[in-house]
Amino acid sequence: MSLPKDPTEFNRPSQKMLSDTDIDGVGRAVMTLCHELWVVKDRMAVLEAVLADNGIDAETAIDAFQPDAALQDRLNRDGRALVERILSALNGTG
Amino acid sequence: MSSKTLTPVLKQRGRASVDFLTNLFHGGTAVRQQAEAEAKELAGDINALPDNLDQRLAVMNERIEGSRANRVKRLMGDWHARNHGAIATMAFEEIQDDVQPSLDSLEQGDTELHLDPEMKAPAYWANVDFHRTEGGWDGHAYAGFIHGEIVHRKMVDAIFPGGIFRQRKAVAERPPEDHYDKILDMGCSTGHFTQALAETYPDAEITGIDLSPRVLEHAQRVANEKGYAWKLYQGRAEATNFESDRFDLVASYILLHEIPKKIVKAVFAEAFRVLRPGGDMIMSDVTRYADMDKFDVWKADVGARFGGEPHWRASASLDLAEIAKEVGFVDVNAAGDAPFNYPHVVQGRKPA
Repeated sequence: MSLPKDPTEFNRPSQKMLSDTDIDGVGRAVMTLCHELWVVKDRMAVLEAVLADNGIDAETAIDAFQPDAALQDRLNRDGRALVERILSALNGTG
Repeated sequence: MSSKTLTPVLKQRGRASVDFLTNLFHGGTAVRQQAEAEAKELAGDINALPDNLDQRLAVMNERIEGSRANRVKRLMGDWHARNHGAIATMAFEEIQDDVQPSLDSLEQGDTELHLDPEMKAPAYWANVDFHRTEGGWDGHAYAGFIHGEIVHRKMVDAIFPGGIFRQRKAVAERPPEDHYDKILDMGCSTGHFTQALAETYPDAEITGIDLSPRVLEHAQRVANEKGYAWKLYQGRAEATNFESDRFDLVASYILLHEIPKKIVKAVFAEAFRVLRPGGDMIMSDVTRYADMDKFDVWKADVGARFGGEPHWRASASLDLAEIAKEVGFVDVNAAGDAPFNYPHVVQGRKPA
């Protein structure tokens, strides 16, 4: 096998990794990431609330924590906004 | 969840995941609206769409393929269909140790549960993942709790216009008499419509029948939580084995679209048989295709095709009032509730 004329072509080789038939899987993966991201964002918000409340045994407290109406409203707003941003990106409107 | 109550208190991951599903619905509103507007535009003359529903599906698929919003909408629907059951199951398994004592204790009480381990599941039901729930209604040992208390109470109720529990109660209040002695709930599932009947007619003896042992087990918990003494049977609504003329009200809520056309007719005939002369029938189900234009039928049909609803199309195409009359009911009336003609409610009476 002969060496390429420009070895640096090997530095960042370009190749088409996915075919058009993979697009559904990509879409599902994006949605799954969106789900996971939301879980983390939600957990962070709860963590902040729990720490602000007492700062001890956060893990147990977080699992047991039930948002009050104000926090639930905020979570709902932020969750919907995240969904809207991801969907806008997919839809080409964002 | 404290002892003797079925209201689930989810842990953070489960709670946030279930919330995500409702966020996906509400956050997807703009895309769904855009998709619908574009699909309507691309459909052209709605009345010129093919009458044949398979052809209509193919034609519409071709016409909307260039609409990015419709492709994104499909993606949302697909993700929700694939994941909602798994998310609810995960949310349950996170709290199972906490709720198990309550679940166990609520199997004790005044409500009888008669399972039939020898029952051969009908082909229209066996191995069908209804609502894309993996394994169907019996896919998990606590599928009844998962579906009734997490999917319905935490998710469906949050996105269903007006609330699904309130709608069940409204349907239960529609039969013409203020009092019934013996009520049968056909396809009683997890017992939440049965509960609405029990609340509306507190002195009635309530019987429920369903194919799924897992949902019946949960119906028993629902009844025992409230202190009811129902009789729950595993069996077919179309062939109950109950004696003739036993009940004075036979009801069902959103059962009929889960069964094939022939079985829908058999269910009405069975309701007629087990009602005493003068008894009332009330069956509610999804919006009739006859009450929608061709575009909305296409939308419903797509939802059914990809939402785990194999019998929806044939069932929603039936004229339930005609079927009720064919089997002998009189004073039959049928109408959809505003604003979406949902549910479609048919009522009738067995001649005295």
